[in-house]
Amino acid sequence: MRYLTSLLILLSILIPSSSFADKEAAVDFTLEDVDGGLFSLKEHLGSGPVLIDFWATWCKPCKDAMPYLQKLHEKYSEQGLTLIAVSTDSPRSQSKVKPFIRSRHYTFKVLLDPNSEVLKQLQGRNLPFQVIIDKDGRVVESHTGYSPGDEKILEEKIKGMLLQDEQ
Amino acid sequence: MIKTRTAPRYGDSTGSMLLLPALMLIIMVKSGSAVDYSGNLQLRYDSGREVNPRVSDPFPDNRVDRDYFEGLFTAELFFSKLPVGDRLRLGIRLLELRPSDVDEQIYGFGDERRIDDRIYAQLSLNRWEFWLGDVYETFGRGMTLNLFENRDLYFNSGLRGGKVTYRSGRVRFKTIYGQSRRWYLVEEERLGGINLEYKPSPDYYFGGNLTLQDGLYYNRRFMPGAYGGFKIGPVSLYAEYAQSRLRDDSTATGVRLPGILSDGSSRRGEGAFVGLDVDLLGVYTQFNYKYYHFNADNPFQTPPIVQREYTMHLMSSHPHLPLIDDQIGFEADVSTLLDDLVFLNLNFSRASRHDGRDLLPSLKEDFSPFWEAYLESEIYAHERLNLKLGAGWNEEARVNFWQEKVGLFSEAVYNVSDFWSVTLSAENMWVDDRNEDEKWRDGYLSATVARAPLGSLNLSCEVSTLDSDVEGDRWIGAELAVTIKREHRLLLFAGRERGGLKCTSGVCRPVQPFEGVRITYDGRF
Repeated sequence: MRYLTSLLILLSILIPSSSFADKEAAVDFTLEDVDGGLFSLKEHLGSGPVLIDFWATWCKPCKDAMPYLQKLHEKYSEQGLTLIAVSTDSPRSQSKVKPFIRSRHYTFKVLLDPNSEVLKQLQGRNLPFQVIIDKDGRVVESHTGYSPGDEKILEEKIKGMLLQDEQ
Repeated sequence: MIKTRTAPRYGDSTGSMLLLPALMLIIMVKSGSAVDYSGNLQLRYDSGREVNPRVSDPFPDNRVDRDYFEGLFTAELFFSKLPVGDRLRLGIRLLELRPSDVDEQIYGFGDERRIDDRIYAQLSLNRWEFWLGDVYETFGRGMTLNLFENRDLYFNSGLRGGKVTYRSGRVRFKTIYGQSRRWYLVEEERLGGINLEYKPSPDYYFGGNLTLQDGLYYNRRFMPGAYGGFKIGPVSLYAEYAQSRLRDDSTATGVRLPGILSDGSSRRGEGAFVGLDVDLLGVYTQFNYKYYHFNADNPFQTPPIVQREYTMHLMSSHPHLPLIDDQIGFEADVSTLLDDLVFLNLNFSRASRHDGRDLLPSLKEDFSPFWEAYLESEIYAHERLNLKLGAGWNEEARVNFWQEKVGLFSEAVYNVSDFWSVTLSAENMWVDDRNEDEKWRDGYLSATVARAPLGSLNLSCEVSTLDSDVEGDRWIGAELAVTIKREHRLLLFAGRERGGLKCTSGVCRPVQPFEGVRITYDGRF
């Protein structure tokens, strides 16, 4: 109860009614990438849709989806698509992430979410989990699991969003 | 000093779980609902029979009815344009769990029905983040602190408290304080920790951690650690060292825990991990080394494993357990992609308990030796056909246990059209149990027909030439997955599934053989 009371006090200070007049980007996070750099989502919004793929080195269907994600990245990144693969490997298997990505020559950005905090923030529970975010930072679509052909649905969605952004 | 505490309840609930949703509602009404939200609902129901390990009768008389239900609801609100701070996130999670009889016995749920709640608030302010409520964190690679949740394994080492993080290009700082709640493998303990990392250039960094732990069983543990890494051309290296010092070994009952403090030197445990990566000429080579001598298992520490976490279905169903209290080992992993058509991965690992001061694992039976070799290939044979072939071998000896396993697996994925696909998998594993002087063979077949994005149907069959007194000798099941509007997924399983040791994220638990029907729903809004 004590921390709830603290929370209540904090909220009453921070949130006056007027702060809800304009809607702002709902989704944001900062994670480390496999090379130790920092990646902040809000710095990559605005230029086009963002496709986030949550995966882990022990997840077989996640790995099956990766070659298709690489093709999407190669095909649409210049048009504005940002593709991010977020590994939820815990620290105990985190060292396996980089070999997996580098040895297969994947060139999309790979981030680390060792406590699955961002996965939970986006309401993901099982892997693989994919989320499409529009340039304003809103979740447009999310999907759990991978079967061959799912990448076609993703591609159609991304093409539509890129077209919409151009207009 | 001997501490006395009343036994905590499993995932103890408080009345506060009703207050936060009320608070959110007030805020939303007050604000005109110009706030974003997201949510998730998961429901699961199992109805059938499962093996009860406490019943000594041979299979099938060792089975009891399984009636299990869980409902998990998560909701979040996001606020932006705040007078102080960039963004505020409020979340609540409610879990209702009605465990099966076996779950109650093994995992100590105690009561027939449990309700658990989690709440959290996260305020982002430039490079700072402030958390209040249920919090999780990892320092380095988890050698002094790794707090996480694994719902599949009934594991949650999160703290109810607060944390502060600061992240810039060069400096990263984290501090956390709170109290864990009793859950599977986790006791009620107070923890506090601090981590500072400095990265003067993109190519090298170093950091230090300190965790203080004050609990019912591991009283007043003090865990300092340091780590660092660098990258020079194709070579990168990461190294971490940590200590675990027991400051007060009294337990609630005043009994010294056997095995933890067998001699004076065991008051101070330590561990080291080194990972060396070389990415050269299209071949990625990784060499990992571990030296873990923490003297006790601790649910808040999960250092890196130095072995392949998943090989194939049959070999991974009874995996080797990394032991942080006393284990030494290494792993070599080589991967390469040939002409974009064939991917090869070879992994070799070896581990054992410490044999004196040796820096390499022992092969002597007294020191629980384990070694494994695994080769996997992926062949992109045709635009519509992918093949996977693999072979593995491992051998492990422990007290009253000595097994050698050889396994082969193959998988073919054929894309019939843009949205239809067929996947066929076959595995064989030969087991030589030298402790029991028995040999047997396990086989596994699986076929999946999928229509993206609507769903899939999977049929699987596992057989063993060993008619086990505990779990029988054949497991046949079918699973139907249906996706509705991308955000909603329904899974229906019917049949028998084989039990075994399920290990992920540094936690293991035995899963009992189950037969019956399981319905799972996962939806987001």
